[in-house]
Amino acid sequence: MSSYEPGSFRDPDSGVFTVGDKLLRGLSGPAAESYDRLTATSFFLRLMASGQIVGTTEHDGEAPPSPRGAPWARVVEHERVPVVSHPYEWSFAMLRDAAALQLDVLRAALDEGMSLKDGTAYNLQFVGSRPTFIDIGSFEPASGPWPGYRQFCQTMLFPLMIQAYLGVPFQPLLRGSIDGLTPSDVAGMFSGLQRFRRGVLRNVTLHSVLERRVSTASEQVKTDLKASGFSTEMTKATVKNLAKLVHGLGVARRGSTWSDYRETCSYSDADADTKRGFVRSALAAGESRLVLDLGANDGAYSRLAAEQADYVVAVDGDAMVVDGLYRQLRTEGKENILPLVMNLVDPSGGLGWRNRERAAFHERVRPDALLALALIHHLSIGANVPLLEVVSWLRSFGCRLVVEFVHTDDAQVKRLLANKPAGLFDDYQRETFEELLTEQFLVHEEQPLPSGTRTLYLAEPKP
Amino acid sequence: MLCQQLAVLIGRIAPDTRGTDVTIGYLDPGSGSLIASAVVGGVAAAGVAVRQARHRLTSRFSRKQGEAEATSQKTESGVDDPATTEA
Repeated sequence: MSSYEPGSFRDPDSGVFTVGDKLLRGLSGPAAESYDRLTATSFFLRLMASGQIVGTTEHDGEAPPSPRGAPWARVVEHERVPVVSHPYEWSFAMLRDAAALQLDVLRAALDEGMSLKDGTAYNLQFVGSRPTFIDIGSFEPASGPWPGYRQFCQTMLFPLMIQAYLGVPFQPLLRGSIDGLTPSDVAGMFSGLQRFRRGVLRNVTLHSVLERRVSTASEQVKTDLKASGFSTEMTKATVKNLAKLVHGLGVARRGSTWSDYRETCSYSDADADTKRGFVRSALAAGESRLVLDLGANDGAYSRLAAEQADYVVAVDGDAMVVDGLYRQLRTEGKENILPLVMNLVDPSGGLGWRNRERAAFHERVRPDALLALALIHHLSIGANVPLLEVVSWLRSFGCRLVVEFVHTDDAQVKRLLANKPAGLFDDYQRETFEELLTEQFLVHEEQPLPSGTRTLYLAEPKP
Repeated sequence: MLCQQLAVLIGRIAPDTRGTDVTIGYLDPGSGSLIASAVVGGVAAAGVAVRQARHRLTSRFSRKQGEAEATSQKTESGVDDPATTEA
């Protein structure tokens, strides 16, 4: 049984598909020639060994023809990334590290006469806190300027610049367009002295003017550039300058809504100890290969889960908090926790061609266990999602659930209710929640915290 | 300064295509983007602009010369010569 990856159709010379549990990539004749050149380089093996390029080996089994009907000249097998994520789910530092890796891979390739035919952020994935380059089909013999510059700008450099220079979060914009932000889009965002920030004049302003005014065919421009003495050394200079620019981009570590949650939350030491013990034993009670931590905040419970699970996906809507977690994990070299930015009330849907090119979050993440700690009140009171909807949503993951219900007399719930008209959330009661939970789940354990204002449950979905 | 000069130069020599839908073909790197990437590399891409200007001037000159020849033939024969007259 084989199926094509819906997101790999754009390049006719390369296509990704699965056969059983194997992840394979078909290569056309010209792409196979490029692959042969690639495997003869030293950088390919070096970067694959360090995990910067996805593990790839030749595959000699059967393969379906390309979506365009032609047989593949060569088929290679890739190591699987535990959970696929997309750039609009990454924090600033994640996108910056991914951009830096794309440029590092390109520089290494240029040193040995190879280049990349594109430069999209979708060429990269994360294994925990480690970015890795996955598009082996992108390697081609170097010739002229980097054709991926525009895609790189649109999906990586511009999003980073608008966040770093203008304080505009890039995630909603990348999610809004699979091709990213055009030079003209971004040029319109910069005004006054902002246009003189590092890299803006060349990469944004000039790029936008040239995009509008140059109508000469790309191939003619390439020929002209070559005739003007453009060489691989000059492409290297472009990449070097881009790398310097990317490394210099940063965001101020301002406080956000949840950045100091751990210090200001209402848990006593006894509550925290009891909660940790409950989560640990709940995860040990069954198979926990993939754990999804919803509303992970600083990842304290994701780390706890990672002691037992093969892999943990830590999702939170606060980009600053996720960025902090990512930086810590990156420093520690931890590769079994994947931090992601996502508003749980507005999760990533399907994007691109037929809404299938980039799969929705719930199609990519199939956990064995779910952590929903100190989350329900934010969805139900903070975002007005009815309790029944919340429980049905938790049930839709089809896995073991560790859930915390915060009572109405807890300080956090009182704070949320104070911002809403009185009487609007009268159904937000522990008894109602338990009733709804037991309708859809078998509750195995229940543990009130010592403070008496929160209760933890371990539950399995009813068959 | 180089960037501004280049932009002005190319702005003069190439038609303004504002309003046209610029799409990314998968492997079409975009003409403007190619030149911009060269500028980012600190490359004196003015050479490209000069060559483009020369192409345009040459083609304009050839066109004018062709028109002049066509006019001359038309005057002589009294009919259009499809081989030399621009559509």
